[in-house]
Amino acid sequence: MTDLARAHLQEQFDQPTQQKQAATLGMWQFLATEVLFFGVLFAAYTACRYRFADGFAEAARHTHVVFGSIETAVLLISSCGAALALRNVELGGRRVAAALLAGTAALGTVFLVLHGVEYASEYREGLVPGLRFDHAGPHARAVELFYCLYFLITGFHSLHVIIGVVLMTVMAVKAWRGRFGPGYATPLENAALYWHFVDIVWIFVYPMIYLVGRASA
Amino acid sequence: MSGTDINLSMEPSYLVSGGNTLWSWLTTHDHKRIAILYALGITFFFFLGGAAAVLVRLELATPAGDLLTAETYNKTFTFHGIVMVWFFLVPSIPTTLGNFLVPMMIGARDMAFPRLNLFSWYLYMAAGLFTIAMLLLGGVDTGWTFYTPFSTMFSNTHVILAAVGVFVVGFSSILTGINILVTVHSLRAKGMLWFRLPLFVWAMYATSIVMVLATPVLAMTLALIALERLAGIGIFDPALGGDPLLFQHFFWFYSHPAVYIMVLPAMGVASELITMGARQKIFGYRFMTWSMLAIAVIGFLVWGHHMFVAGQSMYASMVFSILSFVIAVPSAIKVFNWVGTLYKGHLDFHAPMLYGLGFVGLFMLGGLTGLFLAATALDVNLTDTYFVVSHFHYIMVGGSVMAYLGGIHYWWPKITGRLYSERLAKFAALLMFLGFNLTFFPQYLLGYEGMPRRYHEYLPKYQMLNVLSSAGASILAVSYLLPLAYLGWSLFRGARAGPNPFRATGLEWTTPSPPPAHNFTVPPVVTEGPYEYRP
Amino acid sequence: MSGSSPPSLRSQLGALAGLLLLLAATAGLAYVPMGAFNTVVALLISLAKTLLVMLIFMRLRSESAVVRLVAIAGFAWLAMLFLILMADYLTRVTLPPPY
Repeated sequence: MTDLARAHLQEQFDQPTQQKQAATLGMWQFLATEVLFFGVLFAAYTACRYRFADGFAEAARHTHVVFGSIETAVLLISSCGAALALRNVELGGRRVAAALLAGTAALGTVFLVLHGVEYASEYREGLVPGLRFDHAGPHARAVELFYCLYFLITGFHSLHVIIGVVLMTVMAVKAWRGRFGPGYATPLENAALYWHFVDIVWIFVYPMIYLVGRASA
Repeated sequence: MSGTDINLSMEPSYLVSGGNTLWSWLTTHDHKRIAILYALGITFFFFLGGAAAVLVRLELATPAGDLLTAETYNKTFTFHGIVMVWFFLVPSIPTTLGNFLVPMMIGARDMAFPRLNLFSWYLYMAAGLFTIAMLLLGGVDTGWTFYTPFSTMFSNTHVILAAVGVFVVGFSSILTGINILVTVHSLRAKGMLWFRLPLFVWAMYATSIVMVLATPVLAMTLALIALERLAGIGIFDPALGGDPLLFQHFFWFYSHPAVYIMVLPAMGVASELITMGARQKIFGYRFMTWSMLAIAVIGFLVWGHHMFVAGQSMYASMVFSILSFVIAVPSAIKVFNWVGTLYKGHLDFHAPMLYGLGFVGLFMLGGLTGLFLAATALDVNLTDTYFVVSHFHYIMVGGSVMAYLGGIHYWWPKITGRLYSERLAKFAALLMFLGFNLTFFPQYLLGYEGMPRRYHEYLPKYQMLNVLSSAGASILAVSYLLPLAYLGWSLFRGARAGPNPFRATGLEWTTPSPPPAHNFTVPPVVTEGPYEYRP
Repeated sequence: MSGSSPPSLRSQLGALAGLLLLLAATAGLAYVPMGAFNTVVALLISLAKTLLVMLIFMRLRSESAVVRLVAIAGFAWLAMLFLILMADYLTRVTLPPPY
């Protein structure tokens, strides 16, 4: 085993491979819990949309699809960046990996800024339940329900993006300082898995929130 | 199993090595020390929740609501439920016996993630502080079930604080579950094949699957209530078209599997107590393992039986009812197998065995009444009566608490290196069995007669049974205080224990009592199954 | 190390290209009136994107069976929640008043 691997071998494990597999297994289990955590919101959305299909369609048409689409692209590219950074570390790289990770964090920040702009716009348009909700019309209550779910889902997601940005920044610094190598990159592996998960959540959020009702009036 | 003699080294025990200061305990990575840290918290919360139960039973000794106002009574049983479910029953066996024994039983030096283990304990304690703060600030009156829209829109109590406390303790249990799952996958000793694992380990594994997959749903559900109260963002608000029943679906999606989190570990302990008490292999080892996994999985499919009268569709109710009958089957298999293990065994009725047998009998009675409740036609009359209260107390208290205490007694010599008074322990076990039945059997009758739950007053015709129940509760309380006393005493004056005072099988018994910090001086090599008792 | 060598640059960039194409597809198809199929298509495309991310970025292709099982477990359990939850909503009948 490499020196780096030996240095990080904890005493309850016999081999670095054993330790790494344990870490990967544990991280995926944590991600499974996150799937169920967000899943509740998706299930709530499904139940409400089933009952108020027209209201949801009307509500979704007020979301900012251009922003949403750009945000999706930004996250997808950042995911690739994280994957490439890990690959670079495994091939013995340091600076490229650090740059890629910093780029991932930067793209995550771009996502958050864009989303903040959306939120501000929704406030101006009077679409924030509990704070400023002015929408009237036959589907007003369903629209309000939609926007409750919108803020809940995107709010929890953005919280996870913030955590991810912090994680990626920390990983970028560690990569720059040469803390990872071909024999050991466990924190980076796990951080990258987290980031990909956050991306996957958004992959489902995007059509549910931004693309509903676009084909009709 | 080999390595028995080599592992009786003279290394200092885990209680001593690593330091004796408070700081060394608060920063430990040793799973055994963390188990003890948890045990302290759990014992504290058990008695705190028990104090609330005392108030409930005192109030219910008379028909009039004369001890507590209705609102205060609501807060009392809510506090009892929250503390007992989330701060005692869910963590008790996994974090104390599980943390201590799982690495030892599989031949490992520690859990897979020791620092995560310590962090789990800190989360538990922090959550406990939130809960105590909630108590001191006036409590919560929604019931441990937090039903909407009362909890989100109308209750004037500290719902958010309670929700945060439970949210945090939920994460503590998720992390413990992940730790146990990865430990069992990654750190088994050479020769410790899956089907050579003690049933306690299988039980911890099955429990952890449930903890990991169910608890996140509770976390989000609580977050949703808190946000609805705080920010007015409500998906359960009927005025917006939200559905209060949606809350119940999410809540029970977690809380039904949660009852399996509370009982599966007890089943694991029972298997250990009975094989040791009968000095025999378990009857039907493979069926025991598959049945625990079946309970863990099917347990996720029955939650609607809590909602038969809530407004759920009739068809969904039928599906839930059928599945609730189905899940009784693996539990029944286990009861048969425990009894089968006794056949032609060399029975030794020491205290752990008494607790184990008590578990089997009381779990069986509680489980059978679950079948009554699974039938929708019966449930319509029995729901929200004392029949339900008795049903779940038979399983949770008659089952899980007895198994927990049985396990504490069985592994006490291993954990502390001391022996307790066997006479007092037997007496306490029998007193507990008696006190328990006197407390809760009348409640079946009360429920059948129609006495509703969660009321501080009742019709005078229910008084006699209620008085019997309260009298039983006082006996039960004594029987819980007794172990506290004699086990505590044994810490200072108990005889020193050898490595294997019960002559039991299991890797944990091949080490000194108490074990050294890293459990095994020489990694064990396993060559046979878990219950090879030689006559 | 996972025991296998790091994935090729081509696989990662190829996955990204696929993902961006699918993004364009789902955005475009949202404007094509297909009734209930709009939702079905959108979900299928999301599923495809998710598989790309999981198999290629998260490297599930080269992970052990246990890890893959865990990866599926979260979604499987979510499916349990969805199916039975919606079974309730889909089969609810408005009861007429008893008079």
